[in-house]
Amino acid sequence: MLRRLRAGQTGQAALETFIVFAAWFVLTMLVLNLMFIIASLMLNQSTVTRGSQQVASLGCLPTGVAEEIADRATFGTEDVEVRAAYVSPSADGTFDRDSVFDDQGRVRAGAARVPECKSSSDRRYAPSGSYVLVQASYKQRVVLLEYLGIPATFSVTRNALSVSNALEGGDAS
Amino acid sequence: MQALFLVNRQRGQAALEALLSIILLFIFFFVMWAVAVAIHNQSRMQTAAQLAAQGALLTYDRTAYKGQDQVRAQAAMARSQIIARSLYAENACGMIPAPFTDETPPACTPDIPDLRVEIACSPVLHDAGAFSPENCGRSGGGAEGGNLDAAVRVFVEAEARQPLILVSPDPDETLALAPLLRGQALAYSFEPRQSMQIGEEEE
Repeated sequence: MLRRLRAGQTGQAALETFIVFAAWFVLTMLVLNLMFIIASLMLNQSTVTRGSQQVASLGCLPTGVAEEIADRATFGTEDVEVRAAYVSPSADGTFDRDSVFDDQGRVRAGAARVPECKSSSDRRYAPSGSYVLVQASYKQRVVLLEYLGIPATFSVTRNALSVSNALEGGDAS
Repeated sequence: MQALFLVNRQRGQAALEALLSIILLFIFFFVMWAVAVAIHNQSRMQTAAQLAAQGALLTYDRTAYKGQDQVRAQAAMARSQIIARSLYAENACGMIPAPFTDETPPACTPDIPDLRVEIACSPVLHDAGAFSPENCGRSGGGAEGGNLDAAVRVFVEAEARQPLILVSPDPDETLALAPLLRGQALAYSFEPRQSMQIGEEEE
């Protein structure tokens, strides 16, 4: 009787171990995925910040910003859109992000879009001292949940603001 | 009967062990998440401090009449402070809240109590002790001749505590786990033209 009980117990223990291990594995991978997403946020923020500084000095938006973010597909980024605009500081020096881009990424009145760097004529120097805002929007996939058959994406927007140090004289286009 | 008792006792022990391992796992996840959030927010603060310092320096350099007008230099310093605060607030805004709380370090408004912006000037770049706000806008008297504000230094420092709510919601409490996030940045500009001209004349 004892032998039979032990045999049954071994099978049950194996099943229980498997269930615990499977749950443990999924949880660990989810946390790992979360870490990846935070790492992705940091890396993309860094890219956008560098982009903002480049726009401030180049007068146009380098295409490398969007390409660099898109290259991080392992982190689950897709539909990357990068835009840049400049606006003169208000009299009290404050900055309002909503006064530059609307929810659809269109430039609002009072701000001017910075074109992508394609040719020398694309340059539009933000007047020295003006605020330059670079904004990247993309969809972040939660890759592990997708592996499990659960579609999960969320929208991310990364912003970086710097002060233009471009040539004096404003619009060069 | 004894065998059944043994089996039941083993099951209870196994369940207890499984529960303990899951609790330990969750604690590990919580700590990992909290550390990742703190690293992210620390990075955000540092980047914001750097951009604020650069922006403030640029604003000062293009607004002040170097070596000519102290009143104008004071106005430029005030303007640079405002620009630095706006830049910091915008770039630090968007920090991730600590796990299990909505509380983020205060950063989305220019009225940040723990943000320090200092602008100081010096006739030379290599002597950190020579930098003083009083030198800004003043000419003559420098050790190497030229303006007292040939070199400009902007220092930005911001601090914020990020409480881990599961440990303690009050960061001031003893043994509370609330990492101090700090962003510090220095930006320099140097315009030695007048000093060099005087030096060249002497030669």
